[in-house]
Amino acid sequence: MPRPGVIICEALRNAFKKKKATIDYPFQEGVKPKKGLRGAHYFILEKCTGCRACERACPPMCIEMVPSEVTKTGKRPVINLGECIFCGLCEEACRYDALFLTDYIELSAFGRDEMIIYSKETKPSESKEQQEEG
Amino acid sequence: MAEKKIVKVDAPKTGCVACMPRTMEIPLGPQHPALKEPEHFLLEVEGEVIVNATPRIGYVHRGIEKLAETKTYSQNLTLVERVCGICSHIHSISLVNATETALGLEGFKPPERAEYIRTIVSELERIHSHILWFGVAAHEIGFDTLFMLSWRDRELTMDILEDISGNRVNYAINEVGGTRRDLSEKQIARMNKYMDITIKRLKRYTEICLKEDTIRLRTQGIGVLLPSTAKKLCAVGPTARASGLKIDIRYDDPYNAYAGPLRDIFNVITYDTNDVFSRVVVRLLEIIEACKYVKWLLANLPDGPVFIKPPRKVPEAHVLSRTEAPRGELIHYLWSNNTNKPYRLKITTPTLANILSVAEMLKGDYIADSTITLASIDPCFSCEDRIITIINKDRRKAKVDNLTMDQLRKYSREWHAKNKRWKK
Ligand code: SF4
Ligand code: SF4
Repeated sequence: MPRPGVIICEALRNAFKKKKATIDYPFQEGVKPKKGLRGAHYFILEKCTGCRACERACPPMCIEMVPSEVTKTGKRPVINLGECIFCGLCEEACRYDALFLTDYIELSAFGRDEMIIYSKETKPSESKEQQEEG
Repeated sequence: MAEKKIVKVDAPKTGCVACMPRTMEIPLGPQHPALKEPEHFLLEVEGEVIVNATPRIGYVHRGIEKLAETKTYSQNLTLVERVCGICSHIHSISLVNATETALGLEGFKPPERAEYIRTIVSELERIHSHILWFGVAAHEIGFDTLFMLSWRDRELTMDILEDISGNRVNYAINEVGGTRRDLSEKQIARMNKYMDITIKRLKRYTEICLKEDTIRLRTQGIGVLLPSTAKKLCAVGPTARASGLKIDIRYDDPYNAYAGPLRDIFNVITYDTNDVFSRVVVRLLEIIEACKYVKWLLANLPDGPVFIKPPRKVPEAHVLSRTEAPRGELIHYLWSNNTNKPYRLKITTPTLANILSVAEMLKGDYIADSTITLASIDPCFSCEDRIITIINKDRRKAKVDNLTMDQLRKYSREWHAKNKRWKK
């Protein structure tokens, strides 16, 4: 016994629903969990010792150690967010809590160079703002 | 007698209809709107009916196996997750199981809670993968309402996964020695709630599928794969189960939490109409089962740590780890050599096992039905490619020569003088 259009009533009920299933994303804020998201890195220069543990842990080898005057070993990590896969292994490798992932995920940029964030050494407190700009 | 051609070209047959070739060859792919990934199918057609199909794989070789040899085990877990875009977690389970089996030679054992969490995530992944397939199949047969509705319900599972792992696709929740995140009470309550909604919705969809003519007319009697053929061609996963074969690695060769008391309530879903409709029903019923397993696992989640620090070096071993991915049996073969990096890693994905079955299914169908038949195995061509075949490397430079017999003799003498002791 053919029964066409079983789904029609379902579709109609959906059409007149007040609450939409989708979000007008760039104009409206997206949904994201309160904590535990893996987004752009937050790096605290004062805590870093330059131990290179994060560099060794990184799977796509996107952490580069650059010379620094603040850290103990004279090196500090610089992360290429264009190559980063946001696995969070660097965060786990760092024993000094100098590097962790934030929930900042809107990371589009106009070029590959902009994805590498060299924060200025003199004002380490600004590093987050710079990262967010990138 | 100067210009004697050695390369002969068959003149096109003209004239009466009886002399015309009966079949025609139509290439489907590698770039084709019906395929989401590059793959080549040479369809031999007789009018509108496909009489033969030849698949050709190897368009998206990415060298993951070679790359895995250069990375440590915990780095490899993030690498193998990227083999497949949809069933990412099952790859990392496979590798982590293989690694922990090798470590087990030295008495290492992962904590039980971690094994349960891994299983929960893999079942959630099965739910979202099957709903995704269901939506794609509905879209393929032109039933876009169902496509939209089912994908809306898929978001619930995706939200849970994002909540517990921190990412929607590549969860990175596995670590050699356990998992990297624990489940909180709040998350467990949320999962239970969402699973109830998903079960309710999926029961409704199953009802719709069994009754709605739109689906039945387009899927029944299409892409038939008889059980004997499925067995002969080594079909796996839902494709085999839809042909009535009771094959499921979760039941046949249990791993993680499936080896525990979950085995008692485990139910291998089969359906016996052997066609695309059967595959739709098997997958829908599997989602409902998977929701029930998630709920059972959450209720019986053991206490304890989720991570135990493993030894740095993995002892020498050859390990074959089999897991049931959403698409079928997934095999990881690991060869460790007492270092912190694998010596060799071999990955065989379910689509590779099913690709011969799909060639068999296409036979006897209309060309118009080829897209849904192809989609019915839930193909993931990018995962399966482990080799690349290069035919005629410098094709642009290649030219076709017409040689006379004398010229050919001269050419052969010169060639052999140049390539001395050349062997095939
Ligand atoms: S960020 Fe942490 S792991 Fe990386 S160099 Fe600094 S202290 Fe070491
Ligand atoms: S999140 Fe992963 S990929 Fe990104 S920098 Fe850290 S270790 Fe490297």
